[in-house]
Amino acid sequence: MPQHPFGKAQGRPLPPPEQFTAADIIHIGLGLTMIPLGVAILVRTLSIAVTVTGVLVGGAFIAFGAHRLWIAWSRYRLYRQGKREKAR
Amino acid sequence: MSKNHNSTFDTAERVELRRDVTIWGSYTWGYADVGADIYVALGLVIGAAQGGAPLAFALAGLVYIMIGLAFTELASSYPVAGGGHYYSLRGLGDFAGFLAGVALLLDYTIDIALFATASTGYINFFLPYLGIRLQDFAVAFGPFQNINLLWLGETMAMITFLRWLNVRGIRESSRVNEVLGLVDLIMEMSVVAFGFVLAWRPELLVQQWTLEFPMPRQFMYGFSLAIISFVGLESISQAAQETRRPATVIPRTSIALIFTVFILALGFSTVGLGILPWQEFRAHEADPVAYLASHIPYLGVVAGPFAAFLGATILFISSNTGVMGDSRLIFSMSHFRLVSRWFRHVHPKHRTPSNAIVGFGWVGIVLTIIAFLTPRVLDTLANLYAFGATFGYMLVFTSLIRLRFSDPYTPRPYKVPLNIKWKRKDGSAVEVPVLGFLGLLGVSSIFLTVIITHEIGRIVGPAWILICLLYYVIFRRRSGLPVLGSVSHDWEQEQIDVLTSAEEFDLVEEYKQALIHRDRARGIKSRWSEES
Repeated sequence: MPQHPFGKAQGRPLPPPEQFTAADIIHIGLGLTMIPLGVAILVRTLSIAVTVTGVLVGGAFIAFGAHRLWIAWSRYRLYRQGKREKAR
Repeated sequence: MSKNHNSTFDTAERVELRRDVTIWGSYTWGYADVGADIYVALGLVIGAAQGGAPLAFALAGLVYIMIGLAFTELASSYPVAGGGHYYSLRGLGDFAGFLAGVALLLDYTIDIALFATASTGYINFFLPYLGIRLQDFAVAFGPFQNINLLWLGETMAMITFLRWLNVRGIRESSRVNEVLGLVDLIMEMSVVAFGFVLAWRPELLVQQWTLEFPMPRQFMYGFSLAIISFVGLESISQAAQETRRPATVIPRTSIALIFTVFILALGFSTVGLGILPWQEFRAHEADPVAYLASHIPYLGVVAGPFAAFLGATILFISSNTGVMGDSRLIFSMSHFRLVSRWFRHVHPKHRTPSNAIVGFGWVGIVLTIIAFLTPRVLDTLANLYAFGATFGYMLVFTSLIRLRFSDPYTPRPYKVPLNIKWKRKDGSAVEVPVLGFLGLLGVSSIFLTVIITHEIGRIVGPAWILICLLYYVIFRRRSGLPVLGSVSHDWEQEQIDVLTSAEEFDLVEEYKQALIHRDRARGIKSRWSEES
């Protein structure tokens, strides 16, 4: 069973999503925007000088974008699983 | 008898407050509140921390993440709107509950003044389009220079309007918050993304980082101001009270909210310093986001005015949050007999706490006037805001730690990570929150920095606390209540009422079982067992 994107700490499972929502668009949109931006920040700043700002901000953008995409992917897996269970 | 009556009243009131706020609704609602801070903080923090602004935002943001996680645990365990005041009351007793309450009252009142001033600041972005120069309205009165009468008048009119709206009980719906929160999120993301793609010059950022990094004291000032870009986490507990199944919804929304706000604060400061020199932000500290957006090639013509319009709107709503927060908080403090019943007076026609709304509205207006007498109005208000927020957050962390020991029975749907299990002599286990201690250390360091570096905050903030304490001593003595001690509260019944009204029935059962287990271990008959 796919683990919920927020891990075990929150413990309480949500019901599987039943449809594609605005929240999913935002998750995917944020993920797809943040990762290239993070890469651009890292590459462009590091090509000039190694600064804490460049590494920190670039890294944070990539991590955040990856997390958003992971949430979208996990929701999709929960959706598929819910659909399978319904069919059974 | 009266306790039972109050308990019933509270439950009824909470049930009335519950709305069907969804996960997405809770997220956007929180974003409409916390996301507005960057409109004020960007200019102030870059103006103070200069080339080191992104680092100031990052360091303050790390402390903010810990504060956010603490709020997430407390709000999902105790889904009540009182926020920091309620947690301190539960964890540390009446006196600490009062202290946290007055710190939050200071913050909410500053919130009214600061965000109304900032909102009108963004409205003034449009004045040049009308051929009006804001500087033409600046006057001098004796030792007070550069008092802008137009801006002051606009701000006072806005606060008066907000008071009127709130006394009449008119407030924005969750739907309005959802739409505004979403539009604001998209707008902020667009400014950051298009700013990076179309206008960002990393060489300017690196140049400012290396050549214009501030002196340590100046950097510390900027770092302590940066915390104001994350204030508003009380909205998490506010949302908890108005959400069905908060234990399920709150951890998910608040963690997503915390990281989005953190990333955007980092993004704005980095993109800002790669487009404009820090001095320009200082010169435009009343409308920094709109000013930045107007410098994005191709889109700036539209993005600048749109950001100004959105900033004015969202800051107006944030200012309204201050009016609402003040009245709700003082109402709760009065209920727990920390302040006089006078504050609970309800308007006979509109059924709103009119005394609290009008009273704190006046305090907001007085603070605004005082701030306009200083050289930098927004900086003065931000000074006070930082003091109130950090003082309140210190008590929240202390309550988090204390409640882990004093109330391990309440189910915690979310726990702050990094805990050490400790078995007590009576056999019960406590999870000691390491991150709680680290957060307390972090927020205490910001509080200390505020005291050291904020010339106005270190005088007015403690003065506010002392005046309120004086009132507290007189009120409690006159009412025949202990000053340092606490009135007895039936927290167990209260917790069951709260969880029941939140429809968290499985948590009610879990809580009752934990209490029965505790009573059995103590060898006493439990009031919660089926037989009794």
